Amino acid sequence: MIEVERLLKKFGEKIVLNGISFRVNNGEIYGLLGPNGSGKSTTMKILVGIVQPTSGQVLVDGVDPTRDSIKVKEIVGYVPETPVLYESLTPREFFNFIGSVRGIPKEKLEERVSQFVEAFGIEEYLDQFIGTLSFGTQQKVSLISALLHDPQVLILDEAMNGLDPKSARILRELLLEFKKEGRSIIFSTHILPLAEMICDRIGLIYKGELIVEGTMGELKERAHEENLEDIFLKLTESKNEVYNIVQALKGTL
Amino acid sequence: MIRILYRELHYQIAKRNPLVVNDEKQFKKAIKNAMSLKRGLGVQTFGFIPFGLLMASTFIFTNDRLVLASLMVSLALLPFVFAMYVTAIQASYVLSIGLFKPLEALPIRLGSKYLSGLLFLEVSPALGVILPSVFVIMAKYPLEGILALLWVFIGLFLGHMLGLAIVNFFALRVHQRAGKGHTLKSLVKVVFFLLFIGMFMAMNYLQYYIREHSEEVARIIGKYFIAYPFSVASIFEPSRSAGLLMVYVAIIAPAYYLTLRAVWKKMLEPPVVSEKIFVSRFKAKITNKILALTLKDFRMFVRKPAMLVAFLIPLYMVLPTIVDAFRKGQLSLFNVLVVLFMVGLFSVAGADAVLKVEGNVLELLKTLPIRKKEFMLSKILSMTVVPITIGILIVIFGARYDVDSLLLLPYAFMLPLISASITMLYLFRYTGEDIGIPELSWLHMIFMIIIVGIVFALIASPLVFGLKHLFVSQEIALGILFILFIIAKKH
Repeated sequence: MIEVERLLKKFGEKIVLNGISFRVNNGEIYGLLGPNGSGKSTTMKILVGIVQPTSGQVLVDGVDPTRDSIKVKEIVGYVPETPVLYESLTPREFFNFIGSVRGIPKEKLEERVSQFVEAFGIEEYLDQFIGTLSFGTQQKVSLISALLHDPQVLILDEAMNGLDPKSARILRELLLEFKKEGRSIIFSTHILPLAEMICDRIGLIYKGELIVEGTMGELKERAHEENLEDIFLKLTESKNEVYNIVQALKGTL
Repeated sequence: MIRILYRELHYQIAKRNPLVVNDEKQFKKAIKNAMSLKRGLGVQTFGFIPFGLLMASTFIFTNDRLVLASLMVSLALLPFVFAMYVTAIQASYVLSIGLFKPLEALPIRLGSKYLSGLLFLEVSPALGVILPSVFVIMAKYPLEGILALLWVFIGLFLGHMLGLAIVNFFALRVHQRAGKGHTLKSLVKVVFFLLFIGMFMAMNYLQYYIREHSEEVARIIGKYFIAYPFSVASIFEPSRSAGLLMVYVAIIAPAYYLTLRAVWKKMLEPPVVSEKIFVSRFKAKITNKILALTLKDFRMFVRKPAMLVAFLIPLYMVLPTIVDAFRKGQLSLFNVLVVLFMVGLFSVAGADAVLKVEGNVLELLKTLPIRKKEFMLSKILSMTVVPITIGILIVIFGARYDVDSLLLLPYAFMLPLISASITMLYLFRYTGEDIGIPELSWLHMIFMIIIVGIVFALIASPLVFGLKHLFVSQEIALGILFILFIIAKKH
């Protein structure tokens, strides 16, 4: 379970998160949506313990990342929005490195890497330098490395970026399976139909504030719109703006 | 265009340096330098001028034309080698960060001219080494001085063109797999780098040799007068020199154009080195957390030769002693001892590389359950592996001449460990459990060398009373190491 209470984050004078609160229960997929720069990634980094909050409280499976970040890192699997990997290592070396640092038993590491490598179809890239791999393949390496230690909590920041349809489908099914097993998952994406499809609840962050939260049904009722894209545009006050921009562009084309 | 590329290149260099990027103040300073082409080049040129003045002093006190011509030949090697080296190394870097990717989509016929222009700018600070000597010749013999200046530019251009040719043949290929061949190439690059560093020392020796054997050198120059750098000696025969210069321009200009065309073509579509792919099952190789971090560092060092070079600085310090030992056929116990202390002291230089190796991947490490203490210990290990190996080899080498050298073996282990522990304990003195890349500037480095030097002086103090007190000295070293270990454990 993840609990966030009145989370505030400032970078200098700039307020990036303005006292947001939400909770992700066990066996739940929570969609954290919002425009670029709204504060989604910062929220996720605070949950993992990479970034320190200015104030507020965060608990990940009952552990406060500001007090025991090591414990949190042991239970969380995190995929950043762009893969952060050692480019001069090969995926084989990288998985062994992650396995050693996380203290994963040899047999378990062997089994899990083999399963995921086959599932995401990257067997032939195991001995190539990560830096020479395509963005999508790097994303798969990043994803696999986040799943190796069988994390109880998953924090995925636009993890579907660059994945081919087959891998995206596999990841989707995996997430649903993890949910069934009672794990907590926070998932951010710009693919709104996907969020609509797999998220139990959705929180919409706009300019550092959680402006709305609820199930898909609750959001529809609140915004009086039929799909998530329209809800998103309406609540972020972008619907008229989008219309005006498109009209202006038509004039210049 | 070149101004934009220069700024982008130096911005990317600053961004990829974790020692800079994680320190807002340092980053702003680096960006300030990167944003100004004049400032960036000015700082580098200023750094070369002391060497230039040193070289020029020889020209001031020489009046014999024959000797001056010979000295100019030796000096002309500098711009040539510098231009070739900087072009080849910087071009590989420029290509790896994808500086030209945005240009590839534009309708440009010969985009590599920007690469050439950019690298020529990077090479230009080398003039700081040569121009003082050229100005001295100009003051004594104006026409010959102008010709010398033109030859210096020919040398720069020739080296630059050959550098581009090297890039064309070797760098513009996509290697996809790690392997022994790759490691070997990295080591070859390291050896070239060491030779390059040694060039300034060699140049001083060469100038001394020329003064002593001017007639012999003149005979060699006369024999190969057409080839650069011997052709530079023709400055005292102005008409012949001018003719030769024109011949050089006539040959280099079309060759340069063809090279540029080939480079741009390959930049647009680099040939992929096809290697057979054997898909083998994943077999886990688990190790201790600290060892895993160190192993990771070493894999990366071997694949990034520029970083491996920082480790080999201690090796470079001991090379003259080794060469001297070979020449004289003896290596005293005292010399081995001095070398071991030097290797230990200069292992401080490895701190820069072991921290820089993380590149911009610190965010990944921060998501892993690694404590600051574990990270620091792994860095101590990474810092000491090469100096310890060098120390052991020196002791074994010394034992060839004097078996008693084996008694010095404990120093080979303890001194680099003490040096690395002090350095890392100092750098990681910040509070908190989080891992991070601490600030490390030249001033820190000098401060660390002084601190380690003081500790080493304490260890060496019993030896002032004779080598019979060797074991007392080693006991002191062991005691210091034990104290450092306790501090590191509590860190």
